[in-house]
Amino acid sequence: MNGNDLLWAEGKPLGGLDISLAYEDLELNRLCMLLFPSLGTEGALSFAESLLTDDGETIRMRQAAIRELLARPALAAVLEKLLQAMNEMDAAYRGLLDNPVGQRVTRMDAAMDSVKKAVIRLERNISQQAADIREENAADNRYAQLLRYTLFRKRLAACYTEEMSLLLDELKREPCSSLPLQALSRWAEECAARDHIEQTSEVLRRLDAEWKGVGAFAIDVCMDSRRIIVGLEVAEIRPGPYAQRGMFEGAGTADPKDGITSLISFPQNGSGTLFQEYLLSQVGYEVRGQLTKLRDALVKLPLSGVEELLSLRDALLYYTGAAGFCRKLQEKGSAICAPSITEALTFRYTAARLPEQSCTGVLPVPNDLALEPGGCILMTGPNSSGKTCCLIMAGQLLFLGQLGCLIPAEAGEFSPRDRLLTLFAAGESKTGEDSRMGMEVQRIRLLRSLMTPRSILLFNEPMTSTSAAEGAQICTDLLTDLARQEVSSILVTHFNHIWPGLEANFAALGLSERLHSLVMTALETTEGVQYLYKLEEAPPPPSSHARAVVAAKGLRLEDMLSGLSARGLDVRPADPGWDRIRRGIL
Amino acid sequence: MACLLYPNGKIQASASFPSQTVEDLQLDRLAEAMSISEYYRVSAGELCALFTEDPAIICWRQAVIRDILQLSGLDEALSRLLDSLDGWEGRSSGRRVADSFAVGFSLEDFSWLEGYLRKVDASWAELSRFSVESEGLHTLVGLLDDLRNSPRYQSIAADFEALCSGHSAPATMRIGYNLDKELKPSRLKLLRMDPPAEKTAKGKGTQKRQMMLNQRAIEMDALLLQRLSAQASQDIGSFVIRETAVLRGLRRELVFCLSAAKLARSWQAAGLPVAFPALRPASEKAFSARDLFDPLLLISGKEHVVCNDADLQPGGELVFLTGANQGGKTVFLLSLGLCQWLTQLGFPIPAREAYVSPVKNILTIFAPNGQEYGRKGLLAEEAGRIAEAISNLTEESMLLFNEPLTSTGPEETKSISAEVAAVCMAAGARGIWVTHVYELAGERSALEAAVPWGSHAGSMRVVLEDEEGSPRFTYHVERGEPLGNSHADDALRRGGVVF
Repeated sequence: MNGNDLLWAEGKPLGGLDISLAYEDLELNRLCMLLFPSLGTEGALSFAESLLTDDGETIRMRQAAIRELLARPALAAVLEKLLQAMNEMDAAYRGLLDNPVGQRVTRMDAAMDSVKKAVIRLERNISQQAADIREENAADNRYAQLLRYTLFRKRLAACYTEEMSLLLDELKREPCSSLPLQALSRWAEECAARDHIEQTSEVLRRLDAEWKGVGAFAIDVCMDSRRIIVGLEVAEIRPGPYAQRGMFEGAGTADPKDGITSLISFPQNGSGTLFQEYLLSQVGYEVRGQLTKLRDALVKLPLSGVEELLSLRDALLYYTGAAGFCRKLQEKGSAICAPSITEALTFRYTAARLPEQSCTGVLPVPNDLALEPGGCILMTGPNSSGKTCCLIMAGQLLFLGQLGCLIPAEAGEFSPRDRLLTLFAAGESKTGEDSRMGMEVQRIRLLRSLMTPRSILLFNEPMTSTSAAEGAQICTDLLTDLARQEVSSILVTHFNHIWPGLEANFAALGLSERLHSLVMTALETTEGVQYLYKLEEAPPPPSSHARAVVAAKGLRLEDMLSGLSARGLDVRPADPGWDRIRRGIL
Repeated sequence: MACLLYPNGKIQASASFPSQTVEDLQLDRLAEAMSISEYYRVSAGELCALFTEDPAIICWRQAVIRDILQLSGLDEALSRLLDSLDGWEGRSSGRRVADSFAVGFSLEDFSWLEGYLRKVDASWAELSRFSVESEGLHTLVGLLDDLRNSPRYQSIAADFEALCSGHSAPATMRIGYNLDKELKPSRLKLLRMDPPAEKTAKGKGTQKRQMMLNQRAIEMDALLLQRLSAQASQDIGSFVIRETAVLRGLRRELVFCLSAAKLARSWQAAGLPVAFPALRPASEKAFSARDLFDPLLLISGKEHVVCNDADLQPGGELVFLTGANQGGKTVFLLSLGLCQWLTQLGFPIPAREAYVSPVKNILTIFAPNGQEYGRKGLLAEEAGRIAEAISNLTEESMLLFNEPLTSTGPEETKSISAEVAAVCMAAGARGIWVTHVYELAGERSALEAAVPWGSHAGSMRVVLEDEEGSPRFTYHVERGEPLGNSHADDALRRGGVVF
């Protein structure tokens, strides 16, 4: 049993979706942070990327498990807690593997060490040369390993028994229906029987009451009058840590008992690591009696399922994250569905919403969106009416679909893609490497070199960094070329006048049925433009209603003039010259 | 006291500098390039706080930096003073221990701090041998002289001795270690120090096991104690630092002046011109520069940097700059903006010669990035930026528009652009408006006629040469009517895109 059995239909990774040129434009890092927040922005994205697939069976399997977790919130909560405990278990388990000698140290070792050290001292005194450091370290390291092995084993046993108890209790409540959760349930029952979980918990409670272990210690550094170090002594061993503050910090408000300086980090380099080992060995030697007693009791406890449990980490992270994401969508009032796989369409979504915003902000207006393989959508409409959000929605829904997640829509179907490619209008380069136009041209070249008929390309207002006539012509040529190569695409633009040319080009190719014009609707009222955020199939409108947007930002001519006049600037708002400007001089 | 950057040591509060201008003019990159070292890094924000329209301040700074550029060895002497001053902030990591087996605690570290006190004397002696002409550097030397003779300075030495006397000659030092989650000693602190007498008295009754010493343990312990002593030194230094506000105030001033000198030297090393602009009254609205170039090109590693002359008509002019994609319009815009900014910092400028009137502010409008602002609406974002700029517009503003208002329909772009341009001209502002809307430049006389009391409207274009039927970029700009072609198809061809 391992994590892949729960994540992939065939028990191993299959297929994928290349998002390397789209994740920034589509804000997939933010979306992934909603799915897997514990991994951080970059970690969440790369984790999701590793799970993307175009395998229908895998997608359906994951969807079923997520639906089951949504139906059983208590089980989802137990899995989330188990996942959190895995961090500590993982560290403890690695600690065991790294300190194998700790399992074998006996009381005889201490006697032998004393003899060896006496010999070394004798050699030093006789030859006045450096002693055999390697031999000495080998002896000392034994107690460091003993200390670590014992404390890690205690920590691991405690976590394992506690979490497995909780998991078993929950799984016993009712039988699981999805394949991944059925497999998890079978495995947990087998482990519990093998490792006698209940008895182990009782033993651990008793051991903990006997000795709390080591959390911090102090060493006395002894010096002669020349400040040459002449000796070290273990001065104190305590279960809790020393405080952060020192006597200087806080301008005399710190307690002098906290020590002279504040805590500083141990220097991280090769010799520092060896010295840490050296110190720990000395401390381990001081408490070797307590450690060996505790260790002997701990090694008798069976922990056979730990390794397999740790291998389930990615699977648990995925399922708890995906289920949590869906719960957030439901709490916000969004419908969710498991999109089905089809080859007849690139996608078709009914009443779909932008996933990331549906989770975190005001619930967006739902929209229908459909595209056949090799099809093209020209998306136009007023400024600030939601075109870009719809474009991002198309990309995010496909991403979620190929991750095996449920999506915020009433219904959905899609055919898995190989690449998600985007071009969003470039701003000025912050490093001055290239012009806006230059950057967009390079991007187009790159996209065209990567795309296949199984790719989808999403464009957001490209080619605005040249004259409008030239930009519009380039957009027309680009979409026509993509249609010719059977590549699906969506273009958001204000070059509304390219529609007739596109229609003619697609007709000439015999592909008219694949070309769609979607318009983001808005109503012109006496008070301005009312945005409906609703897509409808219609020819592009004549205007982008830019005046409404700039007026809302205070860029109405009258507002600018009155503002400047109020600040004492001589702009002469009543001058007849402004009428000429209003009528339009260009 | 701020003697290098402000006459009479009186710092004048500067108006807040638009963060959008910092971003658009890439001032962070320029600041990074002029920084004299990673440690003495200057930020664009700090530099913008120096932006001033006061000619007296600008001339004061120009004189100081001119001295640094002209007097051989002065910048090294000032750098040494800077290093010395730095210690007062407790930031020096110059631990020096001759014997690696000896614990570098107390005497070495604290005597180093103590020795620093003497550096004020040394710095004064070194700087006073230069024949400086600027009043700023004269003031600095006088300040050091006053300081080394002041009762306050004298008392610092006494206080230092009193605060640190308990740290000398300890026999035992106790170090506490906290274990991390991996059970490694990861954090440590100095817990206590015992003098020999106390240790002897305590030690007799204890039966502690002496840990076996090896060379590695001794070396690491020495290292740890050095680090702990550095921490303690820093803490003690913080007591002292309160008494040294005047000296510390000089630190950033020195950094700024040395950074400005470094920037100018980098241009000289590349064979490019450097000048201190002659200031003209603000009312003249002058901007005239010979062989102006964009210093960001050097930072980007461009080997061939083209210089251009730039002249705005006296009394104010808004110049519409048009021409081929990738022909150098943005570079010209940046060189003008950076020249104005550097002038008003009092720094040298990237030109052979210039006459410049100070402006109240530099306002920039560059196209926003679709990736960052797509969801908010590119036009809305841009309109918000323009409205913000208009709300800060004055008769003495410099405006730098770079292809604004393109994220809507072409007809709407034209009409809104014309209104914004007319308003800017009516207010009397000056600057550059880079655009592919040729009608703006073509109809500039109509704009002028609509607001005849306002700024002039001009037209410049990028210069192309014909090379076997294809345009060849010269990266020069010239006065002239727009040519009506942005050569986008050529940009596609050069980029390897053919449909």
